[in-house]
Amino acid sequence: MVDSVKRSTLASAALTGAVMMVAAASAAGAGTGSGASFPALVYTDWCQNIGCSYTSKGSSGGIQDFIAGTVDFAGSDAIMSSDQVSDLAAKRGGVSPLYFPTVLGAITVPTNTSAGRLRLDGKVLGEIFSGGITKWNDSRITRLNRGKSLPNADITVCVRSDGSGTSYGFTNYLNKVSLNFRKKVGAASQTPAWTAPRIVRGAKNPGVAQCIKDNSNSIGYVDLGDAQNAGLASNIAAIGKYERRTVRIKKRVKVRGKVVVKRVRVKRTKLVFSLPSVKTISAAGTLRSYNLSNPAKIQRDLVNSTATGAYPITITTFVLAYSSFAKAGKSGSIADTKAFLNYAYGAGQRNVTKFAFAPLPKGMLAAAKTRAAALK
Amino acid sequence: MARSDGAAGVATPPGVATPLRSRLRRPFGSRLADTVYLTLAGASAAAAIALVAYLIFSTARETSPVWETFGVWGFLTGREWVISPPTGGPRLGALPFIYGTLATSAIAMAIALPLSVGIALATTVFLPRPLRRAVAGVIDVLAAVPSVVFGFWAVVVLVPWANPGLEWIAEHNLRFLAFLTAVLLLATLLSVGPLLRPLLALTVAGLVLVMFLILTGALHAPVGLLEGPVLSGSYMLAGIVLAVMILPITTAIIREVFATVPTDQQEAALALGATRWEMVQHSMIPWSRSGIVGASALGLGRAMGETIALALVLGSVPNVFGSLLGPGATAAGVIALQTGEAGQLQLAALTALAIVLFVMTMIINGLARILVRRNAGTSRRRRSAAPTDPDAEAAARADGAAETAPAPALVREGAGSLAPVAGIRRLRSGVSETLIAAAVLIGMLPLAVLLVEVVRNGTRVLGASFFTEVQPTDPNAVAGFGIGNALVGTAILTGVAVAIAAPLGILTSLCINELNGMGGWPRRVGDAIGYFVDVMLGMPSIVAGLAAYLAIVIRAQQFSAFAGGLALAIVMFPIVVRAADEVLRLVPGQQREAALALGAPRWRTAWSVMLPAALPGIITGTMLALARAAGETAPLLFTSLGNQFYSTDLFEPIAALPLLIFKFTIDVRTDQSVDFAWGATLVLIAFILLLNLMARLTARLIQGGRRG
Repeated sequence: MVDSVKRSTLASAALTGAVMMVAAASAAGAGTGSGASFPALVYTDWCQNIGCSYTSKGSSGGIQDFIAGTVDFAGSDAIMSSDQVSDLAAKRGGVSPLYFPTVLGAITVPTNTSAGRLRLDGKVLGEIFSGGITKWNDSRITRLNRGKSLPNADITVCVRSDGSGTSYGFTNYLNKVSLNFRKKVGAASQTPAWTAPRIVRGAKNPGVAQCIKDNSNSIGYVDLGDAQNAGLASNIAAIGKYERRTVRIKKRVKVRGKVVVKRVRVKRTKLVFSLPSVKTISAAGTLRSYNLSNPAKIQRDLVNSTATGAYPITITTFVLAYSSFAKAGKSGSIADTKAFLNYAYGAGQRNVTKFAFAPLPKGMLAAAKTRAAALK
Repeated sequence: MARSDGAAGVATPPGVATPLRSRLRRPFGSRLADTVYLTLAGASAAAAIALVAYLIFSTARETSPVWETFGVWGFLTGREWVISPPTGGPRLGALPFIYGTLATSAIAMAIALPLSVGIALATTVFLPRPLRRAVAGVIDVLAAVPSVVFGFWAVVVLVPWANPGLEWIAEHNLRFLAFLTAVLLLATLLSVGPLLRPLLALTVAGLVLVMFLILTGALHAPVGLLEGPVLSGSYMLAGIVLAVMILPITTAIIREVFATVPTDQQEAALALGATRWEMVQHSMIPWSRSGIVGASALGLGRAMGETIALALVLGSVPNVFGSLLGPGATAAGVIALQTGEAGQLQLAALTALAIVLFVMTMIINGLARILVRRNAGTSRRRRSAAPTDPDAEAAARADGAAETAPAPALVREGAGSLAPVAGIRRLRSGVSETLIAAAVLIGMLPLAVLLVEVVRNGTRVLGASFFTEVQPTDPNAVAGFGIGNALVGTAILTGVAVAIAAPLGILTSLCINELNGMGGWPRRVGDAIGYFVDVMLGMPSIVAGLAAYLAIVIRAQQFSAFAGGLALAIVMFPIVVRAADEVLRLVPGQQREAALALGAPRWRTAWSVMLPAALPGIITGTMLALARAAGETAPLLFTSLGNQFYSTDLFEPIAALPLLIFKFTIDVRTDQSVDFAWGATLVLIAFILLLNLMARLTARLIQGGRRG
């Protein structure tokens, strides 16, 4: 039995040795990224091609990793809050964050009622998510959905249980279109203080999609890809926004003392409904102007965009970089970040549509490319 | 046995008139070796304690902003968890999570404990032998299923199944309460085991009181506790899922406890004319009471520390004293969901919550310890009295717990003549056996369904490339991809964990053993270390992960396999110590004393006598700890992070099977990704089973070799 002890000691020594040897034979990697789950499918696909590794943990997680410096690059749909910015400066040698948009995507609003696909607009969504509308047969909803019978049932609101850039994008939209929402829930946030009375939270986008599926008379917000994966495609609400459109109307006009009805073309503001698709997402990207140093404004202009045919809840997502990698003590990460952005702005842009995302508009892409090359 | 080279100098002929002490003086080298051995053992115990103390301390230090902002009382009683309110700073309170943790655990225990006892009894007494082994085998397999799988399975399979039932309860809540009372009353009248009777009586009394208050209109709240609407996440649902999760563990332990009941006691009861149920009632359960309490404490600890599954089925809505059919939140769940992304104050609050959770599990462990001690006291008295003097036994029973009172009656009845088992006795036995059969069916059904799902869905994706290729990126095109990187990652993570936890754990258990052997104050120190290990044993794994995150990942600014391995080592360490300690205690004292008397130094006694005798048990314990660690998800989320590729670098992020399953069920979910995750689950379970099997085989080989 002394032998057996010896044998086991040898075995454990061999095991430890093996672990050490394996550790020495380190694999070459092109960096580690973490953060936003919204573009995670695209990012992991890009990483597969260039050898980095991306872990989806939510935008808030990405921002914290960015502040703590635990990864080479971080993804976030959200703009860092002032607290997060000062935290970053305090922990990382006074640097500030730079934002690099990568793709455009849509946040969908699937519903689960007996009425099938619904039409909703910003005001109604603002009321539903802040508790101003609590029943499906509220006149403000039925007015948009003539010919459909909506149940006299309480609305169950499905939201995220984790901090999320999708939540940020959605509340950013609701802030822009609903004054009541802004008053009750506050500014755009990764962790909004929802005030709807009946709330269930789900983990990550699939969790919210599952929540919508599991609860009848529910509503929630999910990114397009996950909504499709969950089989909710036909439940995605068409979202309305006001557009100046040329419409034909019948008009009574006096012609030589006689009143005749004539068809004329006039410009009118009209509530136009659209569904999320690569086309309607791309349409939202045609901004009049943008400034990469003001990412909050880019996000704000993208939602409820003035562009014709744009899906109203369109957002972009960012890769975060330090204003100075050296000062931040992360000089080792600059090459990996640049490599990722180079791919993102080159070959990467071509294969985003298979994940239900749209490429960046041309002007923005060019500007971002130049800015990425100047990273230091 | 032990070769006694060290004793050569002692073997002088006796009778020489030199002082005994100097005659027994061992050579310097031997004494030095002893000092080295004792120092090493002491140092490893101290190092382990220091490490954990440091982790706890560094964790606790992070919480100061919470106490400054909210105050201790304000934080503990705060009912809100609003991270970014429209105006002002975060409002963070612990009460909803404390309540949620207690509510879900209580529901889980109320369901799991009776079922566990029932299944354990069935597999030791009531079922036909071949069936016993089959059921026990299934239970053992399920004890190996990682919690992320349970959580995900609950979301896709259990929720649609259970919710109609919950809706019925919501509609008929008063009648449901009445039904529950009636069942419990019936069970109490039929005395379903002396263990449960006082508990049941209390519950029934409480329920009757509540019913009375409701009917007289004095109270509204309890009906509110079972009020609709039934939403997809609820306390009740989470409790059910937790019950399914802890059922295999508690059942396995209780079964082992029942297996230790001496056969002569059982046979004696049967020979006296007791029915099988009466035998269980009067000889098995009183004997096993402390073991059942211990198993419950362990199950409760697991339930309180469970993270992923609860984060998925509870709805994560802070909810104090709301309907049990509505959503809620638990401490461990919110820690798992929000730690990786929390800002300063929020992280501090989550850490404070981890400490609150830790204290809660400590209190539960403490209570269990007291209960076990008290019960062990009475049963030891009973055990020592039983074989020699029947009157003393009866006396011991009478002055023991009240529930053993019917026993003397049985003895009288049976002793007089082998009277036919008739009337009320037969009815009781029949009802009890039916209840046990029902427990087996109810308890095994969800577990069997889960197992079938894993095997059926898992085998669909298996193929050679599944074991060698890296994980897919597109969840709608998983064909041709595999889990190779995750397999290597899990092997490395568990390798690091074993390399840290096994030597430290074994040396620490030797240290406890040596201290216990010395008596006096060293013995008390040994006891203290033992208590500390027990506390660690009850520590939720998420706390280990959080500690490793704060101490290693944040400091090193790097997620790493090492940090993940360390977190897993913290999970493993107390299990290894406990297992080693138990078997070291079982080494006959004479062997040890014989070796020492022959003049063998302590280190040689430990090395050549204690360790070889205890080796099978130690290996089994280590393998079981390893199996537990291999299935951990939550601590890895913010320590080893995950990796898309093969990586073998200890200081880089690394993939792991549980993380992979998490990614393809929670992060993204498509039909294909779910199939892929089932496949990974099957492999993970097979891996854990293989470890268990290896543990048993090694143990048997070593024992066999010794006999031969």
